[in-house]
Amino acid sequence: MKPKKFINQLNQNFEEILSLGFISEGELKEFSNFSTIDSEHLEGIVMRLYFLTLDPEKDIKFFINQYEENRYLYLVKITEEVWLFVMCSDSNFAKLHFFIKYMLSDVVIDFDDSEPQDEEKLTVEQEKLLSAQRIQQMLLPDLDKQIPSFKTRQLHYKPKDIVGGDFYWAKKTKTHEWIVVGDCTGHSVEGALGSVSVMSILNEVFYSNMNPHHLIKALHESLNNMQSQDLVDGYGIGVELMVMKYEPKTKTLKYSSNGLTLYLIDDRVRHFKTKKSSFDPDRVIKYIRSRTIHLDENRAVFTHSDGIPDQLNSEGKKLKTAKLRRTLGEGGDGNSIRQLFDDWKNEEIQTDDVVSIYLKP
Amino acid sequence: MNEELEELLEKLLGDYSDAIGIAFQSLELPIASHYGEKTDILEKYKDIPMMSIDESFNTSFNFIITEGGTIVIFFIKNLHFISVFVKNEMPNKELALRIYQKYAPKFEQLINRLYEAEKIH
Repeated sequence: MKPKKFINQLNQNFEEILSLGFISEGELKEFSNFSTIDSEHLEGIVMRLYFLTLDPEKDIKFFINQYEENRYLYLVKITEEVWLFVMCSDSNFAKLHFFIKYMLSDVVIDFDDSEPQDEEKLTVEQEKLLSAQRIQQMLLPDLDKQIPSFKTRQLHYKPKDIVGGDFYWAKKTKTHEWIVVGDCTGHSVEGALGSVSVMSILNEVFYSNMNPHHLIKALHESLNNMQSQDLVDGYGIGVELMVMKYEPKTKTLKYSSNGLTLYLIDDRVRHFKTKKSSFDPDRVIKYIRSRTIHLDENRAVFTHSDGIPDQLNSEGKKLKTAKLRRTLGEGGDGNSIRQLFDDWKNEEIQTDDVVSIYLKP
Repeated sequence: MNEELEELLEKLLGDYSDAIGIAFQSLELPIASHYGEKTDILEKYKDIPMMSIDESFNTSFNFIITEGGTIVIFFIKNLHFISVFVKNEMPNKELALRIYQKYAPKFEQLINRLYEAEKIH
């Protein structure tokens, strides 16, 4: 990708950028300054920080310096020779971070003046999709480490394309284990950008003493702030989440959701539907609460995104949730649901992204 | 006074998710203290925060993201700083701001008392 094109794309998507450019071979390239800061002064700051980060022993990948209140200077190492710098006002830090990471993953910033060939452009697009997959997978947590109290952990995660909008997230604190299953609007790269943004926001807004519905509220607020800045024309992130907070010591599970269903399985199957926030998010989020259930080794919980019940078979019929409940009621677990899904889909195209999780202490 | 500093560092470390090591470093006061793990890394990187301060002393924090973790720097009165080693490689600005707002005044008060004790002023 040409540096100018990269800079234009970044600049179009973030109103809060004050200046940006590249440093290649120790010199500023494609430097644009939209701020009131004197360009020479700005160049001085950028180069001072750039030389600070060059120490090979320290192996710095990113460096973020709060220059003034609401002014952040962001330096990103692209290769040993090329760095990107962005000075921006305070906004959604995670969004900028992941947008840059996504755009830069495996893309060669080419300072050569010749025009790229069509074949090269195609390869870059393909590489970008695979890079998006790597970024998404890098963010998905290791469940063995994050939720060790669940002796049975059956995860079914299958995007419709290489990447998708469904995701899972987990976090272990001193006293609790958190699990989030999420379904972002959109498939493929659009969905992936949504899920990557949501996962990064979850990491930002999470704190250990909160309840599950607080996490949904905090995420919703961040998304509202983020989307009021018109990220890209027609692009918006909507997300349905199931947030679970388990305390192994007391064997209690608190959960909250804005549209996904929780199944509690013991000698019968109970399903707790939650109100979907997609049509009236502000109202649903305003009244959302957490509920508590007892979850010991004789019980299990299961939750899933819409991709499972919405899967079409060869006759164009949906799988539907009733079959899931029946399977769980007949002693089935997460693996049984996966088998049911695969049998139903058979040779047909996958309808939507899929994520489900079955957990038993 | 040093015990008070250790106690405050320990509290901050306990409040900061994924943080495993913490250090107080100063350009003016002849005092340095650390607590937890990976404090050798904090020592290795300590020149960067001090050199990165802008001349008008408006900097309140830095993130240095390296292979294996993030070093979060909180500047307290700019000539003294707290560095925290966080295992996560994702810079979490919101958490850093919350921690900064909670602890910066406490450290500032303590530093003022340390100044008095050292009779630097």
